[in-house]
Amino acid sequence: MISLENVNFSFPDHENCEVLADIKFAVKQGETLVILGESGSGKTTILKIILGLLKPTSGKVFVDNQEITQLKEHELMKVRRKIGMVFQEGALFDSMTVGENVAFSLREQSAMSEPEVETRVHQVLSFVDMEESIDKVPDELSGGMRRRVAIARALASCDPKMMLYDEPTTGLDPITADTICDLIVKLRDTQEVSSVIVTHLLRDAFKVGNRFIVLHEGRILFEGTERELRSSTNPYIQKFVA
Amino acid sequence: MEISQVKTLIAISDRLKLLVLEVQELAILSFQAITGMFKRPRYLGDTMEQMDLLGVGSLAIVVLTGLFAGMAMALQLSVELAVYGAQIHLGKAVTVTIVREMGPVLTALMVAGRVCSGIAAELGAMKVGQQIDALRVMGVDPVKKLVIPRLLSVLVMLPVLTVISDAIATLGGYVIGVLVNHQSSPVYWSSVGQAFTFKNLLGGLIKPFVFGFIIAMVGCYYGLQTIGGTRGVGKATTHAVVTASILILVSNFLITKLVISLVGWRG
Repeated sequence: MISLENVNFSFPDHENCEVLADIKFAVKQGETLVILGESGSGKTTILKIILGLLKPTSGKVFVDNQEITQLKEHELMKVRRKIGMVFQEGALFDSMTVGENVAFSLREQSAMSEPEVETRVHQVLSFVDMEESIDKVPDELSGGMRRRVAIARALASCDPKMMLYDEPTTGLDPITADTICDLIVKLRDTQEVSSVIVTHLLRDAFKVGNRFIVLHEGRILFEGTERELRSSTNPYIQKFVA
Repeated sequence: MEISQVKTLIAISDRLKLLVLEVQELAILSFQAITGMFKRPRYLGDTMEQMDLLGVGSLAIVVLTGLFAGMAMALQLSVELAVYGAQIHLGKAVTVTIVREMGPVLTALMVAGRVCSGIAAELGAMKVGQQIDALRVMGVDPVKKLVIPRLLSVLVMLPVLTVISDAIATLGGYVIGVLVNHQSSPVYWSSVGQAFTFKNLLGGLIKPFVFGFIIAMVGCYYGLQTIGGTRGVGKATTHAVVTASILILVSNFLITKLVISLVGWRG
């Protein structure tokens, strides 16, 4: 569903400073890949490259068997509609209510009638157990509630087969983090959604992930299962997992 | 050449490169906004909302600015005209000054302070909160959704606000000329009427469109370029207002020069 081949990336104004180097991995349908790494290791940059928000300096990115590296912005818009993205803080539109946030892409992109939009909004908000907050604005929501609305918004548009999560549980208390993890697992199990999750929280990563990548200074240091990760002899990984 | 001089030259060169880059990016954004106006989707609802927020919301400050600018102008001019015994031309003098120069420039500067900063702060907060990325992820073009409605609303509302400001300033001149200096009301209005010539109105009506374009595009550009959290939003807002104000004053001079070259000096 998603694959990166020898992707390198550096910001245009800091060409000597490589953010990502020789990144390659693939995510199969229904699989959850967790990218682990400390802050500044390039995790979020990978998600932005998958979405086409950033263009890699070299290498290829495939989404749903389509190479997206050379696509123009209006062509990328079509690719992005296949992917749901949950941003770190939710990135909800703060001038809109929860219902309007979730309905946004349906009103913008789909040919649904208003009653159909309303039905869909209630459906996805009930999936994340946020139906009672439909008229609240983002400022009235807690961090966990925002992430749940962000998941609902990502789901609303097109029943995406691919979901990207940027630090979905960072800054949340353990109980709320568990709720978010349960949602991610529920999506994977009920709808066979392929997911890429970026996090530095091992506890949550092991709850949701099938496969793990450890990123260090922009390079993949490890790729494998939870058991392989725990038994790694690499000193950095041992320190990270400890 | 000493090391310190080399460092200074490198710093100047870097600053110039950055300036050229900013001009280039602003030009690209402007081009995208202009060409995007003629393509679907069109956000009429957003444009109307922005007209209300940016245009109608600026009415009070524009009325106050026009009133006090007109009154101050009339006070100054009535003293000078009295020296030559030409008080009967007060209305014309006030109106020419206001319509040609002071009305468009003062209105634009006041609107820049309120609207340009507002646009930069709003879009900047959206940028640092990843809402702009969220729009792009959902397949929505931020230029069409955010920039074009703001550009259209300022392009429509600033000329309207300028005309209102001009009218109020002329009334301000009336307050000083007729109610304070006891000039005859028909004489004042007759003198005002003489100022409404094609040449005077031409510059006065071209300027708000150019200034409106500057206010909207500079605000949107700095907003969309914001980095660095809330501090970045503050910096973007300040840069937007300063840049827009300077560009308004520079373009005012250039338009005035152009109009004078095309249609001559005298009204």
